[in-house]
Amino acid sequence: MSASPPILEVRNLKKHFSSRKSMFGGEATVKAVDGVSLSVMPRESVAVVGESGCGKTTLGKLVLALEKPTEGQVFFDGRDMAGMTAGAVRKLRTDMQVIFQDPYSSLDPRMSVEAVITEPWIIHGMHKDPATRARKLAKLLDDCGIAKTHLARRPHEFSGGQRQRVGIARALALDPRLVVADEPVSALDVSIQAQILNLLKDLQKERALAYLFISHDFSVVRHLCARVAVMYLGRIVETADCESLFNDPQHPYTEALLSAVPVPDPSVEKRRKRILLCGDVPSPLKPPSGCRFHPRCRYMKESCRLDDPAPTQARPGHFAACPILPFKEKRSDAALVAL
Amino acid sequence: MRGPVLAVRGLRTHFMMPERTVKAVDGITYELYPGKTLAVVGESGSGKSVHALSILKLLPMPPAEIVSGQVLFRGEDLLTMPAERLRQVRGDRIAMIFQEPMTSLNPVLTIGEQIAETVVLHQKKSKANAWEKAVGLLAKVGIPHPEERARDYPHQFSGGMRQRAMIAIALSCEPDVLIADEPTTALDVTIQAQILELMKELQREYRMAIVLITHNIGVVAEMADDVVVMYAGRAVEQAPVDALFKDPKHPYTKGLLESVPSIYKRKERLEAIKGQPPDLTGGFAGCPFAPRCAVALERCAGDDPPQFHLEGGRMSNCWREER
Repeated sequence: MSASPPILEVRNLKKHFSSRKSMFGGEATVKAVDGVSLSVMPRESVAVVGESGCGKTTLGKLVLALEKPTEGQVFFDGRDMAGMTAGAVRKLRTDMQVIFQDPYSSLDPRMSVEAVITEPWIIHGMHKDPATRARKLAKLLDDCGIAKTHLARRPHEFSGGQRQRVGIARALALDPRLVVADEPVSALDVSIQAQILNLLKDLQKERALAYLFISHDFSVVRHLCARVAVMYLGRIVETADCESLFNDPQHPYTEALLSAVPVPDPSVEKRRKRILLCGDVPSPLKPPSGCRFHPRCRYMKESCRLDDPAPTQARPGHFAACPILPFKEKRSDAALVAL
Repeated sequence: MRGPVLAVRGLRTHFMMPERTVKAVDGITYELYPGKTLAVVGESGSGKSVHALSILKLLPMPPAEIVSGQVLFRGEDLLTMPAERLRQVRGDRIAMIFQEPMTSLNPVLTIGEQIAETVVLHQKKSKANAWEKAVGLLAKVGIPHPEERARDYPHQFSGGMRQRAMIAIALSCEPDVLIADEPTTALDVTIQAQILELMKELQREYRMAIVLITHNIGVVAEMADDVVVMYAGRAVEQAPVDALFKDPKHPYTKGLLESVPSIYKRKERLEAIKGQPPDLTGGFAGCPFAPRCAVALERCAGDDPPQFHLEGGRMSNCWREER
């Protein structure tokens, strides 16, 4: 155990959105994030993985104080962000930055690359001395692999990969300690994705960054992150070190999710048997009772309809919220309810 | 039927813009046999989708122009056949599904109506019979309660269900060839797994040939029998799937395979291909991949490589194969 406190700690965080169901009907509540606890240590990269609608992006916004939680707390460096004034939060933002998925919509088309990257310094009144600014900018461009000759260009003149480099440079301009990266490589082609992943890895080492890496892609996560949290319908169903999770997933959902990822090797693909989940993710407006995964779970027992499982430690550092844990041992005797 | 059901020969599709010509597809040749899947893999701008749209002449012409080539469906050239005959083939013998099912379904017609429409058009069935068939097809593609769901509109379906509905439309006339353009790219992995499984099942049942256009190397490994790798509008490598993954010949294919992270092993660094994909206006003096190629020879920059045909029905468009 490391002695230093986590740079980010989230405790029982909830975000509920209300949406009017119909003209006459009452209000319906979408529990986008529904009781999430998570921590990120300094220099650690933690991934939040899940399918669309699981609440991973909302979780990122809550961490960045871009959304107000309905319940629960976010601690940054041990300080509760809820109690802070707007000014204090703004100051704190120099320590936490964000990289977005779509480098096409997250950069202002009217601003030059230089303006995009240096805007955070103007907002926070930093590096006012031209010499310092020039030196800082040169270092940043060099670190992120952006050519100096491109500074006067505008985002539309660049390809997706180059734009994402600009987005990364902007996020790093303030020397943050935590970067929330929301699907930063999903919009990129594989050959470019590899460049950006390598860049993110290098930058983490050089700049001692912590990442909260939000993604739907397990192979990317395995490459970049040390720890993983798997989300399903607003909840974290499993957390573990990367190796432990990939080698021996403890939650039936994680098991199915990993098995669904196509492997870039035809000999493996021909041999392996894939677990097919039936149906879609249920609507977060009406999450299932008990364990939220039970309608799609192949190990489901009657009790799963009622018992809302709490995370249980399967082995040190590896937690899963499954009411029939360890499900693998129960595979044989589990009264498999027909799906 | 022993011959190929679909044969594409030297297809070139260019976009004639006022000031420039974009050579979106600049040479692709392959044969597709019944019951087989051919994957066309490439990154954005490689020409894989334009190639698919060219097969059925679904591109706006102008600006697009099919400059040369043949697309033979059972020996008949789709590119030169009369429009009336092409309309009979399209949707009936060759069906197509797209990446984003929401934009390819009509939002103001029910799912059932859209499936029945194809059946009425191509099979001259009565509306009542066509509706019955539509419900049957929805059941076939795994939509629960098909009688009720046939009366739903596309927005009432989830992404995965919409793609199932698209597949139902495509299957309605039991086509010989299905062209699937990134059919699972917009879907979550668990739903992607369902759709790919469904496509495989239906292929077995109907002995359908599939042209699968994708950027996802994992999907290629799972689905394909043969693979065409495209770069800058041309086929740079062609091979049976096992051979391609085991022993890629073209440096671009090698780079592509090495740049994919795997969930099975963690690499310290990914072998990224340096640089950016090229601009397709004008032409290339030499090999279009040369500026990014780690093993380029001196001649590659100025000398356009031909297609080298290798053992095992393979092709590589790289000077390194010259013997």
